[in-house]
Amino acid sequence: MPAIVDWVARLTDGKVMNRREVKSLAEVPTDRIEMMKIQTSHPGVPNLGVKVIPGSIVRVFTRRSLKMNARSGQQLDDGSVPVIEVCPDPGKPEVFVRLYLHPDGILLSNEDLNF
Amino acid sequence: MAATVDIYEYNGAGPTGTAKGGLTVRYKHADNATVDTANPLVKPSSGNFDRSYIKSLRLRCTTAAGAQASNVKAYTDGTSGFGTGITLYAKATSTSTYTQATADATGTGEGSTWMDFFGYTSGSSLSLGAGPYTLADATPFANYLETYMKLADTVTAPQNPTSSETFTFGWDEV
Repeated sequence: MPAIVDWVARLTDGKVMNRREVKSLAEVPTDRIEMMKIQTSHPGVPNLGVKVIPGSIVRVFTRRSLKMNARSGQQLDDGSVPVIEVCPDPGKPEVFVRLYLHPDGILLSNEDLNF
Repeated sequence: MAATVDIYEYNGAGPTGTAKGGLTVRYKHADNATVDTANPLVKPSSGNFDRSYIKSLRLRCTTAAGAQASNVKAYTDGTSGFGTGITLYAKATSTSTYTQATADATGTGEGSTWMDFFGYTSGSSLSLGAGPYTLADATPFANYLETYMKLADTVTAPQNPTSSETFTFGWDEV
């Protein structure tokens, strides 16, 4: 499963935050990110740069899934797809462009995809 | 480091959780997580239905590593393989409104508050809470997925699920 290996974010006030300094991306103020550099374990996108238009919001999260076989009860493969999302209008969070780093291929979409 | 999450079944007034990894969710006429043939559902007489007790499933974080979850949901592949006459109803229930199942599901609200679980798919899922939920070790999060099984008189007895069905829980994690 691909994962985000490392990241660094530069904020609009010049402050730089990186993975070593904060526990989680949840601590990064998404409305003040000016630029992000993301290193992933996905062979198709080992390095990714995101330059954010002022006023946009960028979010990075992992879309996870846990499947349960209803017959055997067996918990199946834990799906884990890193997602980089840019939302151009903070007032319209339902409008976004996402890059899904799915292990079977990279998906660029404006839809909310589940796997 | 991603959080480690498991699916738990909750029973009793407490309620008490049981990890379901490798264990069937057995729909029956009793409130327990025991995988046995006691208190089975029975093919109803003509024109009647047999409903199970409500099963309450919930995600539980084993190790969190400071993670946060949001947009928690549940869905199926959209096609029931349980066979003719078997319906699985589902709804989300908040932790504050959880009550122990002490009798069969009544059937009230079928098609309104209780919906066919196989109507929820990856493109139209059942929300179990928007969050965000700050995850903690050995702590459940988000709402319960409540389900019950309904047998119609058209079911073929004895009935065992002949198809392997997969339920999916999804969430966004940072």
